[in-house]
Amino acid sequence: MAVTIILQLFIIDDVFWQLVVAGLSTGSVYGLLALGLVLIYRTTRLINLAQAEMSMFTTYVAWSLLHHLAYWQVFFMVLGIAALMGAFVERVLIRPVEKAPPLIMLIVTLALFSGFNGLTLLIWQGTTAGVPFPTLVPDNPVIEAGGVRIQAHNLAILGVTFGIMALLYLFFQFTQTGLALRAVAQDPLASRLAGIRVANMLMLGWGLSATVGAAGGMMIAPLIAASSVFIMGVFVFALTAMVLGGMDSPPGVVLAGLIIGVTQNLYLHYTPDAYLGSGTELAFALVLILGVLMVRPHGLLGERRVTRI
Amino acid sequence: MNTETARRAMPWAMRGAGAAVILALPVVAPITLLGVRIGVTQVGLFGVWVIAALGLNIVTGYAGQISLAHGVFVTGGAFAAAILIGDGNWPFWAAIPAGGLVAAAIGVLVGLPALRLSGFHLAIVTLVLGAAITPILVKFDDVTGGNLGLMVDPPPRPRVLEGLSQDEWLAYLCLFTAALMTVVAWNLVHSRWGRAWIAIRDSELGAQAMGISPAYSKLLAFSISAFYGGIAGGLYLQLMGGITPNTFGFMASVTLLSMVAIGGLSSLAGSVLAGVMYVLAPEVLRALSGKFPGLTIGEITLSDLERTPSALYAVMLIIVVSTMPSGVAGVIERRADLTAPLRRWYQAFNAPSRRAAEAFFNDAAPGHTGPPGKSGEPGGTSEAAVEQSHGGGERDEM
Repeated sequence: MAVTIILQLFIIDDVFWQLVVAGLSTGSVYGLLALGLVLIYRTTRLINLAQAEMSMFTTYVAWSLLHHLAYWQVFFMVLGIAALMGAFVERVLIRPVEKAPPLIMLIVTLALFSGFNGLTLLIWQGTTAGVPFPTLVPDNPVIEAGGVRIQAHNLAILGVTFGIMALLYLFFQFTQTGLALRAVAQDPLASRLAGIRVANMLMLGWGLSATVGAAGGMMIAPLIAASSVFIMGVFVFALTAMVLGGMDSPPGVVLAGLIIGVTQNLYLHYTPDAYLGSGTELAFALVLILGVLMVRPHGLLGERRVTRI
Repeated sequence: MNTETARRAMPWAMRGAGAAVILALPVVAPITLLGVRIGVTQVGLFGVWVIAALGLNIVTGYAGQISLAHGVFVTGGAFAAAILIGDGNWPFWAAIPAGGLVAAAIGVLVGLPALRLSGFHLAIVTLVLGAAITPILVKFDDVTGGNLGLMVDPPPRPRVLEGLSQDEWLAYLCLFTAALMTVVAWNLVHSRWGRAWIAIRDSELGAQAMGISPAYSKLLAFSISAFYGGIAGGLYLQLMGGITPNTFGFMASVTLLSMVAIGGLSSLAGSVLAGVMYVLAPEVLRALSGKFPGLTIGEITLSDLERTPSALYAVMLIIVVSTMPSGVAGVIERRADLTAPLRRWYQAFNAPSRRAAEAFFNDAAPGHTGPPGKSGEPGGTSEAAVEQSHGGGERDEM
């Protein structure tokens, strides 16, 4: 809907389509990170404030490994590392405070935020030392189709993110474990009675979330400098996608991520730079969130939450 | 109940000690404690960050809503005060409260849509606000001075305080304001509003049933918290002579919240501790890395840790949150053997009344086994039972 309004507002030319495609590819990464947030929110009822910092950390791990191994080896290895890391974090840090009020759990994720942030800065001193993170396609050629020039990496991002999303969909719909995870998200008590090991499922949820985040981090890294400041930007848009899409709806947040990626690009390009444009994109996200909260608090595809007294 | 009673039973000694410390600190500074140098500026900063921590504790500790934008309110208050002082020629005693009001207005603006929903929404909105504010301030550099920020002249010394140096006068200004704000905070959290905040934090549904409007109460807590932040910002501006958009980034908010949680959620003493820790922690690290330059953990040296202490704070925070949910202040108030003899003495000496006796015995009772952040408040332990009977998955509202 938002996209169609914008279509009518702006002149549609090649630049426009370039912006849309680039926006879709960054938007798909926002969607991926938001998906990681939703995975945790649905199972643990918690917003993992450290989501972006964890993917920054794994991206730095990948960057270190790239000195020794080929890209795709590193890619899958880091996904594995991230899964273990996520599961470890759940087991060691989240589970002890599982029964605590949400505030305490949020504070623990905040501790994770500053922990991963500090650890990354301490280990890598906050720089990638002039070596940019490689793109998914070697040398990143520019593809031209009908006057629209697109970097190959942007298309590859779209491919990989949608591949991951498809895999997740298949996992949740057609495997026993996926079903169990969905059951736990729906009703932990009933799932426990049905013989599902809820604790293991929560661990799995965190592992999956960290994996998805790691993939997102490695794909967005060539586009931004993967420093803590910029990963905050990505995280802000992932959170925006989460609110816009509905806090607990996986398809909703992916859709919202795409919408936000495109809108962000168009916003940056078509608004006057004097008082809007670059530098205000995070404020734009804030306005978007506040707008959604006022008009449609449960988001595009989220469930309207009803509490039983 | 025990904390409240204990606090009521021993106010004069505390007040006296507090007043003595406040009066003495700026004059005796700079002092060196165990190799940590506390200068006059640090003493002033104690005041600034105690105020900021109090504000954060009101919304997070008492009302139970996580706010990640406290640095924004500090920055906002400082910039508002700087503009009023610089362009408007306002006197500092008018500009600083005005800065607080500007911060409160920002708080209302972002809190209004978020607070009628869940606590997660406030966390998200404040996080985004915290990330968005720095680039905005940098962009509108004709008002804010861009990356360089704004500078102001220090406030004039009142004639009666001619005997003090400029630094000492500023330190007194900050400390006295902090003392005043602490008293105000104490009265706030023991007022009808404060009880409403605690009720909402412990059970939003229950509070609603008692006729409390959660949205209104939370907004009140959030805007008061922002006001405190703004005041802290104005004082910081006067103390340091300037403010830039990057002085308090998102990480400053995170660190302050960590300190407040370490000091003790819903404890004013904890906030005072948090403010002091916020200022002292870097100094302690500096002193340590000066003393043991060769000490390393893996390849990380102490001076690295001094530059990026966030990982260290994170470890502290996790240890505190999982082992002493009511924070360091809670431990000191309830368990520490160091103060127990003193307190016993004081109670026997001062008031052999039923209230003091109750306080004494309640202290000995295992009242701190309630859920984190709740112990010591009315219904702490019964809340634990309710929490358990709920089972998982029903924590809809935060």
